[in-house]
Amino acid sequence: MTVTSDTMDVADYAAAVRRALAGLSPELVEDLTDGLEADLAEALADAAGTDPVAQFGTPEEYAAELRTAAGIEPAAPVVAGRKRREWLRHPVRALRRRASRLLTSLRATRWWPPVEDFLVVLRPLWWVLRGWVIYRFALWAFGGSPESIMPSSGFRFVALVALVVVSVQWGRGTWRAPARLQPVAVFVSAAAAVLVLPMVAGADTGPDYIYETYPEPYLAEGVVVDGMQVSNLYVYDAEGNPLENVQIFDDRGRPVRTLGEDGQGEYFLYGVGQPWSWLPATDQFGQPRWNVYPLLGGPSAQFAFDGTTGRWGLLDADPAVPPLPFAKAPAIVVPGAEEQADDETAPPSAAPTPGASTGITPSPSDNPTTPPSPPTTPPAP
Amino acid sequence: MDTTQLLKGVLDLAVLAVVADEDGYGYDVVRRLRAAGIAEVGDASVYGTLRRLYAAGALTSYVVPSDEGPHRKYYGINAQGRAMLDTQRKDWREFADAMASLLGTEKVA
Repeated sequence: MTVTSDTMDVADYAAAVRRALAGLSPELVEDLTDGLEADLAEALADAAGTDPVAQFGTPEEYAAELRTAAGIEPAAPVVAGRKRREWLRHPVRALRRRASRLLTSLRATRWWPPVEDFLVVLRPLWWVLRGWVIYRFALWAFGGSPESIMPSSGFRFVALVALVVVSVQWGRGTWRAPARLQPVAVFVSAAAAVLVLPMVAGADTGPDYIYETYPEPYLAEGVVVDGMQVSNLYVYDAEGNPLENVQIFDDRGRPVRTLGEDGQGEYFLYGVGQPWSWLPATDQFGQPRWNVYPLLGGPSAQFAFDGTTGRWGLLDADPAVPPLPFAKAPAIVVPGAEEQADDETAPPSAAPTPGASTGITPSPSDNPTTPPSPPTTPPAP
Repeated sequence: MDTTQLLKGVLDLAVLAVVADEDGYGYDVVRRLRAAGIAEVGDASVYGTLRRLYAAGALTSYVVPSDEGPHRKYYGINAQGRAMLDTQRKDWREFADAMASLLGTEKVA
């Protein structure tokens, strides 16, 4: 109340009591406070007092006592027609009454009280969030440049902290808005509650340039080793000798291809001065096969588009094996191979290898293999 | 002991008794309650109780125009109110006797 007790006379007091009863229907208020001025004046005269507040307490307390004694529920049921008018005339009041009625009925349930306790604990989070939402709204309203969740400058940071402090202090009831500004504060709070979800959803979680620096990773076709696209594969047998015309499939039977659909393009080979291009092998049905390794080809300079066949190919040279990385790879030790080599005449099933039971593939622990030795042959130039 | 708490349960009875004695308007009832020694009753509690008893059909109400100042709304008791008063009076006596004997026994012991 901004009216001081000095200026408040009986009429002011009675009017304040009626205002405090405003949630009730006008008829009920009239019924409850009919003759209130006369009663107040007489009671004051009896007490030889002049100050109604000193005598009867605040108008709000007086109204509450009146209502409780009269056995009227805080949210008195109103007729539907009047209710609709109320929604038009005092939407905030009607909404608040509706909410308080909903809360009353919720509190009667078994599940709501623990939920309410939980939400009450989360209230400080809302206060902080409210400060942040108001800050973001102000930033938008004043045309500030967009930024991530955290402020982009010291001044903005100070502004954000100030708004959060005001919001929290208001939430704690430490700082109160002047009575005249109270509706504004409530409106701002409600607006913040509406805006909080879209704002949080729309907020960038990090600086913008992240999106520019790291584009969506491009899932390339082909074979990648240590993050590098591979143009050709080189296959060696157990003794380390290079093989040619090896078909490679994956576990699903798909041909393993290092190149794209048409296989065109120039590829730089390690240690080779000029780029190479590749040609597919051809299968028995005349179809090109790109999974036969090593792919054959030649220096790209010798490639051209043949107008008569409509194909990309070598002009006047046969496809050649590209320079190998090694002329010879390290030989590997094949489990059981040595024994078989020693006793080639006997079939493996009739003469089981020592240390391994019949019919079961020897496990590495039974026949330890020597670790692969480093390449003994230098890479081909 | 805080007598306002005690009063809450018996304010209906007290107000009915006052009004049964003689019709009265709001503050008049307060004044007579205070005169009877029930000092801690709040004005608004009495007005609210009068209104509730009236709404429950235990009281009648009529307006008396006043020569000087506003009109007065008087309350009087009706048959239903008297029946209510009798019942509550009986309940109260039983309760008061029980309390008296309880407290009296304790005092002797």
